Amino acid sequence: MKGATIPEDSEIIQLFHELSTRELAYSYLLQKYQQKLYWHIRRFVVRHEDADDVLQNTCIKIWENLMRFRSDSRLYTWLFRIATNEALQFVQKQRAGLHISMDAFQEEHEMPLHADSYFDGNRAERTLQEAILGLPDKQKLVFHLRYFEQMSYEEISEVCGTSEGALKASYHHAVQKIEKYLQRSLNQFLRPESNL
Amino acid sequence: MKTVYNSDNKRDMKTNEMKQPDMESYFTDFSARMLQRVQSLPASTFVSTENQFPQFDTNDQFVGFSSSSESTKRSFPFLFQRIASMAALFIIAFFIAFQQFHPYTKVANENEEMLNQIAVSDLESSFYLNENTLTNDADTHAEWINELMDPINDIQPNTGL
Repeated sequence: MKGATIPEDSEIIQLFHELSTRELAYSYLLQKYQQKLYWHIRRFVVRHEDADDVLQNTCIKIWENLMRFRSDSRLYTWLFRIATNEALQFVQKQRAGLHISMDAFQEEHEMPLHADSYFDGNRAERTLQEAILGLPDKQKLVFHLRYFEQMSYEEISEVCGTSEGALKASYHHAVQKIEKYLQRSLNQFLRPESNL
Repeated sequence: MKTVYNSDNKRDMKTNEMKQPDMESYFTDFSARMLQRVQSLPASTFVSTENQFPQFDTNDQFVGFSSSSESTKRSFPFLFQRIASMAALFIIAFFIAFQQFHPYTKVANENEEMLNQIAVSDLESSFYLNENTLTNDADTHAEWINELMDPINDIQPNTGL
């Protein structure tokens, strides 16, 4: 399979509709999108093990529902919608299970960011991740899709079901908050004695 | 103690080294794992969320899912449907209020009240008549018959032809 040309989305869907080529179509789909979906999920749930669980659920749902996929939206925005819903659901359950406030939840997620051996980012990258973790869910989602996935607002609208105007506002707020956080961190880094 | 995935995709707890995960082998393993898993899947394992959209509160926090998106809620057909149903409700409420407080309705109510009063007095008089009919008092009886006959007696015979 490795090195083979992966067909277009429409072709993958056609192959999936045939019983004999369903698994082949699914393997193409995984090959094409699993990494993107994994990183999208991981940005929400932070831990690799959690991302692995959520990605598994996402992929099973894709398998179960791809037959019913209507071509009124793009395949990859449909896949991202499933992954987003799964990740949000996971985070909500985790939050409810922990019975903690948003701030405490954020701290809870920042800890593995520092301890995670898989996270090979430098200090700036880590600070950016911390800033993103502090955002409310909607702003975080819009920022992830716009900044990391480089989706257009139209595509994000297909994933979130929110108007483009509202998405632009959310992204703007997210960027402002991140800038403020980075500025504060930079000041702390440059003048650590002022915090004493 | 670090948790990493080895080539068998099992968590390896024995290494103390700062190892970066081999994401390429993780994804290869993941594909194989998923293909194996979907083959043994029962008909439907999970509640479907693929046609649902996340909903957020005023603080942009996730609160749950909805089958209609926010953009659908702002679309023209959706708004038109909402406005039409609200207009229909308003018209019905207005019609009921109009009927209740219109002067004709007031007159009709007053008339109805009057008719009820007449009906009650008729009932009382008929009771009186019946009571009289049942008495053996011949004078009262005759008087009553006369009273009844009076309008008939007043009618003049038609002498047209």
